Amino acid sequence: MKKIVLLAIAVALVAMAGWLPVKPRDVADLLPVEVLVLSERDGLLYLDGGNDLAGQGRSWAEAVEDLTETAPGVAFFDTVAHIVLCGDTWTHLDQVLNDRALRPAARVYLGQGNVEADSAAPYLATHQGDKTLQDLQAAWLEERTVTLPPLTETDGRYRLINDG
Amino acid sequence: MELTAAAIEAAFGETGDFVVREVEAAGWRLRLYFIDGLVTGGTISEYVLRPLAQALTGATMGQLVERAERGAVYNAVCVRVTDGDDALSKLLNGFALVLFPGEKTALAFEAKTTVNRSTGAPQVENTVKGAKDAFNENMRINTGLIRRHMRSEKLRFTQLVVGTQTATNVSVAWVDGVTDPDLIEKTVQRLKSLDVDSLATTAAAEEYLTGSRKTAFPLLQYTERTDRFVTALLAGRVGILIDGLPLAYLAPVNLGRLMDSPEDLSRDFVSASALRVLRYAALLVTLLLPGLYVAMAAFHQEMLPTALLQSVIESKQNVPFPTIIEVLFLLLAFEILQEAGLQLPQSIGQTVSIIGGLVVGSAAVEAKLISPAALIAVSVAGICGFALPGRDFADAIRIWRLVLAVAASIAGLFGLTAAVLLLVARLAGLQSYGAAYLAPFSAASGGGAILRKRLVTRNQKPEDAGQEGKP
Repeated sequence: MKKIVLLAIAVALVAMAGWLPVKPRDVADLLPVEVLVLSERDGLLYLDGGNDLAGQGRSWAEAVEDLTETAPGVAFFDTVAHIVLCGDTWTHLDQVLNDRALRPAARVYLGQGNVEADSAAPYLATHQGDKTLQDLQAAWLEERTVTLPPLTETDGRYRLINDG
Repeated sequence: MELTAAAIEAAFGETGDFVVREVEAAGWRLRLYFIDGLVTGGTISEYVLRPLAQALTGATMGQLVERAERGAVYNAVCVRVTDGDDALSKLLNGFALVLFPGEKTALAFEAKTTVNRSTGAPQVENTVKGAKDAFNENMRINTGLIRRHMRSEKLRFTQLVVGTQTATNVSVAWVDGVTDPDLIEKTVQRLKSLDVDSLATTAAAEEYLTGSRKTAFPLLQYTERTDRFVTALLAGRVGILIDGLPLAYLAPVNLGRLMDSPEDLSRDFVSASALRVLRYAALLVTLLLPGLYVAMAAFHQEMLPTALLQSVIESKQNVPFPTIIEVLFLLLAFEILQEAGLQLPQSIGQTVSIIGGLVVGSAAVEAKLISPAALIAVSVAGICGFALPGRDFADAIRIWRLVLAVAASIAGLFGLTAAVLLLVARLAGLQSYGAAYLAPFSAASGGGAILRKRLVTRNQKPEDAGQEGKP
């Protein structure tokens, strides 16, 4: 019994000192992001995460940080399944690839038209692109050229073309 | 103690149920003793008093003893007693004692009362097709039931008396030529070495017989089924019957044995194996689910599929308590409900379960005090716990389930894994009568640990006698 009490005290002390390898983050506080849409206006990057989550900055990292800070809870990027790069924002792809918060299985698209995270999410839930962050990372390292599947928005309707 | 009238009467003192009577036989005055309630008045009148008064003749007291013992007193059981302690023991076991003044021996005639609870169907270990006779509180009836299932002269009962105050009769059952002699010796010696006041409760029996190890896991298996008891004896285990307890113990025991259900042997091996797999799955779910839910919901949300995570988040909306508190509270509430159900009469117990489980649970979810996801996780774990066949084992799992949930709430999957490793190490360190607790799952004998073997290929000889898994 003494051993158990000592072990419990030791664990409690380690937990209180913050030395444990993990920190609790209650699921109720999370604001999961499924679709991220990156667009550019007047030299600023705008990041739309849907559900009123938005951020802006001069780089991908700044936009993500802004979105995180202005979110009414904890913006949760581990659930990001789709990343849409609108206009010329594909030039920031290297920054997206270096973001460790995103899952390698997240799919990447080239957005055309007025793509919004909230309206694109239901469409992308049933129509998925064929290029993932992992594919792009591999191509980047091997210096191969990859064509991103275009996601086109016309009058609120979406169309995705995979080239196989 | 001396075998004299004064010593015997002084030993029982003024107790109201101790009866002393003077009887005249062939002109000699004898003293008859018995304990009211343990014997039948009719049996004493017909098979002790009447022959003593009418059939016994003799010129000397020695002749009286001789003739009475040889059959003049026509009673099925007649035991010669030469020691005062033995005389007291016989009286306490339903014998009538006849003391022949001046002689150094007395005769004890069996006159036990036949008032016993009848043998009923098993209350806990139910089966659809299996035998319906269960043990009751009378050890002699229990040995008779065992004999009816196993009509073999090789079945042996070694009888002992344990408990300085209760003088409880204990029988060690074994099968000659099948049970490991070392295991029998170990069991008998352990019983003989017990210097305790009482062996009247199941907790006392289990703690004293197993050496009171600091563990919640049972180191003896109990059964109320006679067919299961006999099957275990034939597999080389020893059985322990204790007078006054409506069950029997089996040793050694291991995790595989505790996961066996009596129903396994009344089904075909395919169905029985499928059910065993289901039972092991239930074991994992009941042990791990609350801890896994806490770890996933409070630490590792990225491991949940997005749709499931969305559902969990939605279920948590407006709930004021963090997941950790929610799950620990629900686990405790579940235990309290179970305990309340046990303490109350069956009809009220069911009402408490319904009110507690359905009404309070539903109301708490509707009032947003707890989330439906946490309630489902804890309830599923609780229900899976009821699928485990042994209550003692299930109780130990309940305690570890709480420990695992606390570990998960401290450090997520890291804590849960550490606690599971601790549990496995603990189980691996346990031994029951020299047999390793996890022996069925060792590399050497892993086959057939979970699936039930076909009876035609199964070795009925000792498969887990005491030496198995011994380091």
